[in-house]
Amino acid sequence: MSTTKSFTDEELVAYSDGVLDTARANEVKIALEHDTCLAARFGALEFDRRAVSAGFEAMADTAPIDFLREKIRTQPGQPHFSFGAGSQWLRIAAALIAGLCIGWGVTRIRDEPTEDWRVAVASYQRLYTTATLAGVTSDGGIEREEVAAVADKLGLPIKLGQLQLADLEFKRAQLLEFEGRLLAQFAYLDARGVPISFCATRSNAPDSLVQVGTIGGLSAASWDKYGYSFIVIGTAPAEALRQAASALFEAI
Amino acid sequence: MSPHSDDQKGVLPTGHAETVRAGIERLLPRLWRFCMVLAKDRVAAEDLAQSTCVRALQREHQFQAGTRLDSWLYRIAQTIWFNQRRAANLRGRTSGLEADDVELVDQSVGSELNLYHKQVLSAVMALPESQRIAVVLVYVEGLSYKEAADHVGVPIGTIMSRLAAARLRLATLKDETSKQKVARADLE
Repeated sequence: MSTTKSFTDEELVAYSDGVLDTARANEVKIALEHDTCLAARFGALEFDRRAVSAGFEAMADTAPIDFLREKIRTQPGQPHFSFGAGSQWLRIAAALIAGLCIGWGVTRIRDEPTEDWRVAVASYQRLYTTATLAGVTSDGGIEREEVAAVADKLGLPIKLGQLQLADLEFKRAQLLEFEGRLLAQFAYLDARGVPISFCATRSNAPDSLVQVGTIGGLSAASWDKYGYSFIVIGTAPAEALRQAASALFEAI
Repeated sequence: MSPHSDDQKGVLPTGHAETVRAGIERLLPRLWRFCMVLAKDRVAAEDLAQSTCVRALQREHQFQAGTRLDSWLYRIAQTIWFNQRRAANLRGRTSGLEADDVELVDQSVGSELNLYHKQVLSAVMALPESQRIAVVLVYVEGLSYKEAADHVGVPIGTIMSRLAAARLRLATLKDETSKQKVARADLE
């Protein structure tokens, strides 16, 4: 009887599942023929995979499909974010309309929000250039007051210190409105003068971790926490936005 | 290793909204089942599956064409579930039921084979959460070790350890069940 210590349980499971590399699998196979202890260990890891599959298939058969299907069919889809080539005018028009609606506080009267607020934020953000924020001089006292006022209106306990980010210069805080919902925008410039916005609004969405994607051609990192939805958005690389979003996720 | 074809995995040729929506509809039974694996409660699983569908449709633009829709949905479900549980824990509430409390399969279909499958299912559902998820992802949903590791966000070795631990535990439960059967038979 030889030693059984040369193969871990993990290797025996991988062998049993047929995913151990060929050379090692041959070693296990040969050892199993002579090593009774190893064979006993292997036997202890025996697993009725077909029974597990059958059990879970039976479980799936009891799924409330009709209920869930109905929920899906009544759920509005995501508006299309990308515009086709040659539709530059459509893009500009959409950005201007959304920018007007948000930036100047024009409230559209609707019972329920019909557009994803992040799409509107993306459209608004596309209007930003370096010059939009370059003229905003940093003044800690004013910034603190701005943040406090916006936070108070939004009901979000947030302070300037939580908004300070490495490699980004905080420029200003302002309160916007989208389809009757208040929307906080905290604007930054990165070291190259690229404008980046961090926005927050109240939401019923369950908590979620930071997810990075593209909205309206801009990089975006969004998450939900404690009854608010957040997004960091701009033309900066996605990784830079992910880092900023992760820092804000932790800070707030 | 995968028991599912590309179509069953929900690998979609494009990320078009209607394609994603149709793919989600096709995967509903399996999505709900994965929610059951997480929540161990029919009502909670129903809510979780619904939230997952809503979130997925809101973020369908983030789904990458050519990748597995089922994995994407499961990741969303898991994120929502863990966040909900964390929030519930913060509020001092507990969640999760014991497997024995859960109506796992249709009781009206009675046969010895079904009974055995139900016992196996109950045993898997009684595993610690991390082992339960690993077993279901690999042995039920057909993910490779690497895919399962990526899904959970752990090294591949951790998934292998969880599978090994789960299989040892299931074997122990099987032995105990067999001994109980023998004991009952002796009494009769």
